[in-house]
Amino acid sequence: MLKQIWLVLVLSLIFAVALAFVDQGTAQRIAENRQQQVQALAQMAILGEPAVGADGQMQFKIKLEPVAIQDVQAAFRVTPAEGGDETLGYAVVVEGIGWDRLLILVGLSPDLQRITGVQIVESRETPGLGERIGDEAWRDQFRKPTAQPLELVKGRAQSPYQVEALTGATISSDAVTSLVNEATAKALAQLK
Amino acid sequence: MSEPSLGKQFTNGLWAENPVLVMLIGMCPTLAITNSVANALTMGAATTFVLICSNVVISLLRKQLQPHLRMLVYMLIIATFVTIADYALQAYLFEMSQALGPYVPLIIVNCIILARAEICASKSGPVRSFVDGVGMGLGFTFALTILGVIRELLGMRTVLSYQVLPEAFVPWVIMILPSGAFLTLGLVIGLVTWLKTRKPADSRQNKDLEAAA
Repeated sequence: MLKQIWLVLVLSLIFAVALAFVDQGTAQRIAENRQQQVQALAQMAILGEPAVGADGQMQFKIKLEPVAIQDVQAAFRVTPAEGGDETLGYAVVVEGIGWDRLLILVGLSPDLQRITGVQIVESRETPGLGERIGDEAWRDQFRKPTAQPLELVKGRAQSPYQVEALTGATISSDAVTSLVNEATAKALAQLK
Repeated sequence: MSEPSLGKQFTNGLWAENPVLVMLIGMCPTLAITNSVANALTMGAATTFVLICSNVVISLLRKQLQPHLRMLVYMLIIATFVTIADYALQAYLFEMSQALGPYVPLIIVNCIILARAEICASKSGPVRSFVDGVGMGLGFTFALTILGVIRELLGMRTVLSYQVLPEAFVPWVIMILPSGAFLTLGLVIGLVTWLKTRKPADSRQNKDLEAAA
């Protein structure tokens, strides 16, 4: 009986040490992966250019510099990768709920007057329905001035501040629209 | 009872006792992540890795294990290897680990691994347990890949993201939704059962004919 308890304790100790080494070996790479993902999406949202070159390697034209905005996942000032302090725009990452956890990145122009692009960082919406929030054609609708909050409508958009909902995916469309509004409102209020 | 040969132990997992198609265990990842071939292959590889490692370690420890603590030790071993697989995916196949979401950590409770620990590894030597792990792992990967090919082809016109069916083919969205998983799994299991039961039926018929003659 006693021998068995020792076996469990010794095994736990061995496995814990092994996992500590695995963690140490991979933690930096995992953090880099996450950071590169956000950087690639920010470049897409601000410049409209993908960060993956023809050879499949990541090539960034932008750098991210954290800025303080309260109650958002992350916010960055975007500057050119080759140097210089020119502001190319701002990238704001916000978290919310569609059918599941939803993380989106909103790109804003340097003067914060326009939304330059919306990218999905993480989503688990229904494939074929809600997951179409990832379609570029649909997300392009959000490239509008930030003067008014955007409004989601079913059917055709009548005014410049309206966004057309995806058919059969109103909840996912609504989640993205309110997250975009949240990101722009917070950036406008806090980055001036 | 004599033990089957190592070769038989290996093919056992591939076909005769295929965990998904014959034993009907490990259904959760089977239904959840077979919407594309890449997902199916990655899941299969991760599960095979965990299965082989846990089989071998449990086999090495089998003489020390007493009934009341064996489940605890199994879980400890399986959870360790699953964590290693999860970290490796996040570090080296980041996009894939994002696509698989919670299903990689959930390998811990995949009953194929626990079943093989109980049925094989806790009673056999490390070599046999290793062979059993490889066979069962490949059998699992094989089943997931079949489902993945069918679902990705009909649901997105592609296999491994290469377009196979022409533009004119309208994708059957249902195939990449959960209901498509159930439909495909049911049909594939039906087909496999038919293939497996066909032969004995034939030979019985032959015997009847011989008897009649």
